[in-house]
Amino acid sequence: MNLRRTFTATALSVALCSAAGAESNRIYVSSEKDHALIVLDATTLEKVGEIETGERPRAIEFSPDRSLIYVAASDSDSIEVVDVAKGEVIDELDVGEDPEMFALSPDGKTLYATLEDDGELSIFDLESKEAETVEVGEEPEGVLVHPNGKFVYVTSEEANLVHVVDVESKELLANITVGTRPRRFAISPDHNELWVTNEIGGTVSVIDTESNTVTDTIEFTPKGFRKGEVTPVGIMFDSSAATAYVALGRANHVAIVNRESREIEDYVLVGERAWGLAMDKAEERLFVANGLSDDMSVIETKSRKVIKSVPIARVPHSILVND
Amino acid sequence: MKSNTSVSRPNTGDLSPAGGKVGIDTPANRCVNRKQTPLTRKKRANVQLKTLFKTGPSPVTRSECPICLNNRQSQPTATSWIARSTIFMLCWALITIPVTSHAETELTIGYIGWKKDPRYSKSHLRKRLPLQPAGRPDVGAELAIKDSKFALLESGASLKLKDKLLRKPEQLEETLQSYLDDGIQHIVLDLPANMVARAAELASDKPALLYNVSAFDDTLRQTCQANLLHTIPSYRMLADALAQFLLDRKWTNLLVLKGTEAIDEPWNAAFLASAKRLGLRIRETRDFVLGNDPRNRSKNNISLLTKGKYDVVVVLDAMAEFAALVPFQTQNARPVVGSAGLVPLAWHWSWERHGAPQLQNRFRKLAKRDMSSIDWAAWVAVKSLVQTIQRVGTTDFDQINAFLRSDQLEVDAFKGASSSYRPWSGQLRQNLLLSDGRWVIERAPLAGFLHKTENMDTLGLSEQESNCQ
Repeated sequence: MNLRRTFTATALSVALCSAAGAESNRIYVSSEKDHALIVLDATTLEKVGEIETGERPRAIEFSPDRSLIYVAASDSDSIEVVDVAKGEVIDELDVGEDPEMFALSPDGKTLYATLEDDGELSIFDLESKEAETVEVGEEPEGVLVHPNGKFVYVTSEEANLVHVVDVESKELLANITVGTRPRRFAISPDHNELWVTNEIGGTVSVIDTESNTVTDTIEFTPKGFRKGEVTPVGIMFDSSAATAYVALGRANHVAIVNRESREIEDYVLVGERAWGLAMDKAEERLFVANGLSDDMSVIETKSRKVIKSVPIARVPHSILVND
Repeated sequence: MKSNTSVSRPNTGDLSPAGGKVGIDTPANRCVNRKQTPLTRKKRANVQLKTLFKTGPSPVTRSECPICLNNRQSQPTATSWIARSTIFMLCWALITIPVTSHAETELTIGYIGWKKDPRYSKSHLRKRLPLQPAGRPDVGAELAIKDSKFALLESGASLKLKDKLLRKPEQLEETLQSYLDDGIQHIVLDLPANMVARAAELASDKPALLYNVSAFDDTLRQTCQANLLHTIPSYRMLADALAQFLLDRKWTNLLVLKGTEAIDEPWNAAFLASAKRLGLRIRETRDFVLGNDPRNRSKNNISLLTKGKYDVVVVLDAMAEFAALVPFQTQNARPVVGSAGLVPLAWHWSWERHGAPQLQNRFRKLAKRDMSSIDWAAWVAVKSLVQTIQRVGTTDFDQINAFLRSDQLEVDAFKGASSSYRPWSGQLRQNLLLSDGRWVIERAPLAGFLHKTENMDTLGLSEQESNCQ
């Protein structure tokens, strides 16, 4: 065991010291139960290191210049700051208790984190290191900053709502009733549509960001799974916004949805309880974190087939790609 | 691989009373905001919410509010003061009338328990036995009410709880009647089975919904009474969950130990039916008696009771007191399941998926203890009502009644699936948790136990077995 750790440490230092900019071409995956970020080579998909974090790391995000990774260490009640070059945690941000998901403002100066246990959105100033909170519905989860930086969208899993929070006044501008247990968001690159996954409802609600109303509800019926087994969580658009990818949780599939027609073009079988999604820059590969099979599926976007399944660690949660 | 999509629209997405975008910096909002004194963040958020969602359907009127416009006009003359005051009064009326006329509807939920219910005796609670209460479950209902604040914003409804502990069972009738007289239409029953049956009888033709949160007996699910709902699983559901587990592990040769009191019979009957359905072999059934009387050794001595060949001991004990003694006292090195050892539950604090830890934490904060199956049942009863009001947008009884019992209900039970009430029995379909008291070992229905429409319906009395249409 010790040997293995030494080896990992050596591998990590070799990896970090070998070449300048070695930290690019990396994939980072948070492991909820091994309390670490697993570092993979983005080309070979080999594990090249491991960054120890606080307890139960979940959401991870790059700073705008990609020199830092913010990690929500839920059970350590903090958001940790990883220096990508050093490969270690250099700071802990006291945003409030039990942060799960978070998002950064477009200028990278403010961090918005949902505090599951307190039913609050924490607004954390990264310069002054001070937090303000806004009361929202119980069990807030998904958080997304509108690219204009003026609004933050937050889901309340318990209240089946999407809150629209005004960043300046810290007030709730609207509460939009969506499906049952809303989880996460994706906003279309033209900013007109906000898609929300409803885990228990088994659907995606499409919100028109102009009127703050739900305009469509998309249902999923992967072959061999009942409605109750379809539990969508992770969601993302490709950069052209032609396609949305939705991770269907316990239904062990990723749905590929035509954004314009809302038609589901394909279902790709992945590992168990697929949640976290990420893509490489060329958008050739979609990475899927499978929470209950401890691995990551790699989907080739062109063929829509899984080309590889990479063992990660216990309960992979989120993925970041820097290639 | 094309399609399979279905797109439906529209949803009741917009919470704005006028149907437009809310919270925009209109003169109306500025007018209202100007009246506010500085508030703390939370208070401010609350005021904002009230301003946005409780002010009724006339924002147009308020946007034309002259006081607001006047504020930005030239200095008032002395003669204009009377006019201004009148305008102010009118304006104030315009602002406040809709507030009061669209005032939130307060809906009271009644809770009825029985003071001398033996399940709640001090000595019984102290033992913290599985499938038994951990304290009065009205706190579960309270939590659901507390959590409903945001979900009920749009409907304008707010909930409150009225508690009553009966001193004598005979008080049931007058208490029910007084609740009904007070317009209480949603009543949480935390009573033994015979009293639940009596309450159901008394309320059978009344515009009220009864939520049974602590009686497991299957006979209550066979009354065919539409206004009696059950959120606590029935014995048959528990037995089916256990039987699925035993079959899955291939522990199919059973020794059954059963209680001899009347309250033990329903658990035993349910387990017999489950064993039969799944083809488990009951090698022998033996009666147990709680006590130390040496003349009754064959029934109270666990070592003697557990002689023979079997894979597993199934102990069925409604009060779980005898069962608690059985594990590790068996003559053979065999596991114990049923009312001790591995026990099927509606809830266990150690369940860590589907948001369960958050629910558990909120409950702990309020109740200062872990959530039991019965607490969970009271919580989910109120939650199903909250969800219904959120979806139908009204507190009208008929609309609630129709939606709540329909397949449109999607209650997040925090066990990973959407729950609704079975039309043939009023039973909330749900996943069950098999726990050794320390952890959740399995969730039922187990993988591979399939039902033609809904796998959760492999647990409990099926539509075909039911007496009811």
